[in-house]
Amino acid sequence: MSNTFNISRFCKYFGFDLKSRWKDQGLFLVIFAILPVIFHLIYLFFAALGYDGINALFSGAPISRPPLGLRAGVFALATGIFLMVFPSRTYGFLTDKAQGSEWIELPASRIEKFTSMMLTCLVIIPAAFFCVYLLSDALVCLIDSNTGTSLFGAWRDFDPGFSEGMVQFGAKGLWFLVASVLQTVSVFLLGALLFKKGKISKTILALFVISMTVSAIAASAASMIDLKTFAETLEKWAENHLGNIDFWFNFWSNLSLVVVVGGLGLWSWFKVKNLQH
Amino acid sequence: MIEIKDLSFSYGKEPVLKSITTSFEEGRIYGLLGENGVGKTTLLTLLCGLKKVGSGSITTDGENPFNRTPSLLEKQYYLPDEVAPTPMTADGYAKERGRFWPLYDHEKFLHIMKEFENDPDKKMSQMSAGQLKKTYIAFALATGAKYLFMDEPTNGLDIPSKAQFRSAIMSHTAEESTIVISTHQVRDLENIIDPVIILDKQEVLLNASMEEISDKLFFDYGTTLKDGSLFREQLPGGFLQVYPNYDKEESKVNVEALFNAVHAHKDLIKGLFNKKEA
Repeated sequence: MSNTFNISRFCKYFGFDLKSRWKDQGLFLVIFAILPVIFHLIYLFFAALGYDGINALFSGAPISRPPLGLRAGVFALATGIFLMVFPSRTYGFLTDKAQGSEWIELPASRIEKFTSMMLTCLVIIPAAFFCVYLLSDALVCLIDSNTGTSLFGAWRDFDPGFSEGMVQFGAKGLWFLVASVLQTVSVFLLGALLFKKGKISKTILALFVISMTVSAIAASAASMIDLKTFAETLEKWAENHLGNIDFWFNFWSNLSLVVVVGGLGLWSWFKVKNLQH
Repeated sequence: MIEIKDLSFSYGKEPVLKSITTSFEEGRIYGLLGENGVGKTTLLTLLCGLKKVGSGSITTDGENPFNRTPSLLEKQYYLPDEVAPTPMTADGYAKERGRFWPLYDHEKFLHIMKEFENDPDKKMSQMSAGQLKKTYIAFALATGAKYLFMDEPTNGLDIPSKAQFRSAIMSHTAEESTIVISTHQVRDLENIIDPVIILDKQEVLLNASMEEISDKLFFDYGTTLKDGSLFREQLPGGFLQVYPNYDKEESKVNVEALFNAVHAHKDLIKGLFNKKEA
C-alpha cells in the first residue's frame, strides 16, 4: 500500500474527517445557514411592533417584509463572517498540542490529510452553507408569499454584465462568488494553521499590514514611473485587443486567483507537512 | 527496533538533548526516567515523529518517524500526558479511530475498559481525568501497535487503576512490542519496566536492563548502615542502601533508589556500566 496516496485509505480518512467536522461544527453551520428564517422572524416581530403591536402578526395586517436588498445585505454579511470564522473552527485544533498530536499520529499520509482538509474547507462546507442558506431563504419566500423573490431567483435573473467604455465584460456572478470563497477561505485557513491564539483577529491584522505594505510599495513604484506613458501603453494595448478583451480580463483575473489560492494552499501544505508538537 | 544516533535537539538556542545514542529493542518495556525538564517528553515526541530532530537520526524499523508514513503510524501509538476530552462516547471514539490501525481489536478495547471499570458508553467530555486517561490507555493497547509511547500514563489514576494498568500492560501487549513509558511515578511501574533509561540534562545517564543493574549494583534492605553507599534512605525498621555490587550478590532493584544513586554519582555509575561494554 502506497505511503504517499492510497485511494481506499483516503476515502476512509475523508469519511472520518467529514464526520468529525460535522460533529464539531455542524450546529455552527446550520445556525448560520438558517439565518434567513431567523432574520425573517425577527424582522416580522419588530415590524409588527412598529405597526400595531404583536397582534398584527396574526390579524393579517399589511406589515412589511424584509426587502430583497436588505436580505442580500444580510446574506453578504453572514457569508463574510461565516467564511472568516469556519476555517479556524474546523481545523484550528491542529495547533492545539493534544488534538493536533492526535491528528498527526492518525495513520493516513500527509497528502491524504491535506487533501481532505482542502476539500472540506474549500468545497464541502461552503457548498453546504450556500445550499442550506439559499434553500432556507427560498423556503421563507415560499411559506410567506409576501416576501417576494428569493435570493436564488433574484440572482438567477440578475444580469451581472457591466460596461467599461465600449467594452462589455461578461462578469460571471457564480465565478465571482467561487473566487471570493476560495480566496477568503484560503487566507483564513492559513491563519488558523499559523496562529495558536486569536486566529481570526491576527489574520485580519496580518491582511491589514500586508495591504498597507503593498499599497505603500505600489505608491512608491507609481511615483517612479511616468503615469502618462503607462496609461497610453495600456490604452494602446486595449485598442489592439478589443476583440478579445473579455478573454484577457478573465485570463488575468483567473491567473491572479490561481496564484493567490495556489500560494496560500502551498503555504498551508508546508505548515501541515512540518507541523510539530 | 528503534535506533537513536547522535541525536541532538534544542528549543531555540536552549539545548535539551545532546549527542544521544541509544536503542530500543523489541519485546521490552522501557522506563524513561529523569528530573523535570531533562527532555523525557521531548524524546518521546521525537520518537513518534511529532518533532523533527535537530541533528543526528532516529530510525524506527529503518524509517524516519518524522516522515509520518502511514505504514509506520499504523505500527505506533503515542499517549500524551494530557489527553483531549472529545465530546463523544468512548465506544464511538474507539470505533471511529480504531479502523486506522490494522491490528485494532474493539473487543479488546471493551475488555480493557471493563477491567478498568470504565463505562464505554459514557461521553469522554463528561469523564473524570482518571477515567479519560484509562479510556486512552485502553485504546492504545487495543490498537495492537508494535511501538507504544506513553507519557506519564499513571498520572491521574487512582490506586486500583494503577494495578489494573500494570496488569493490562502485561496481558494485552504482544511479545514483540516495544513500550516506552516516561514517568515520575517509578513505584507504580517498577515491577514492569525493564530496562531503565535515566536521562539527565542533555544526555543518557543509564540505559540498562534490570539484570545488568542488579549485576552492577547491590540494593541492601538491611538494618545496619555501612560505609561507601551510593545512596541511603531510612525505611521503617531498617535502611535501603545502594552499593556497587563487587561481590555479585543478588538483590531486588529499587528504581527510585537507583534513580537517586545515579543522580548523586553520575560519573561513577557511567563508569560502572560502561566498563562491561568496553
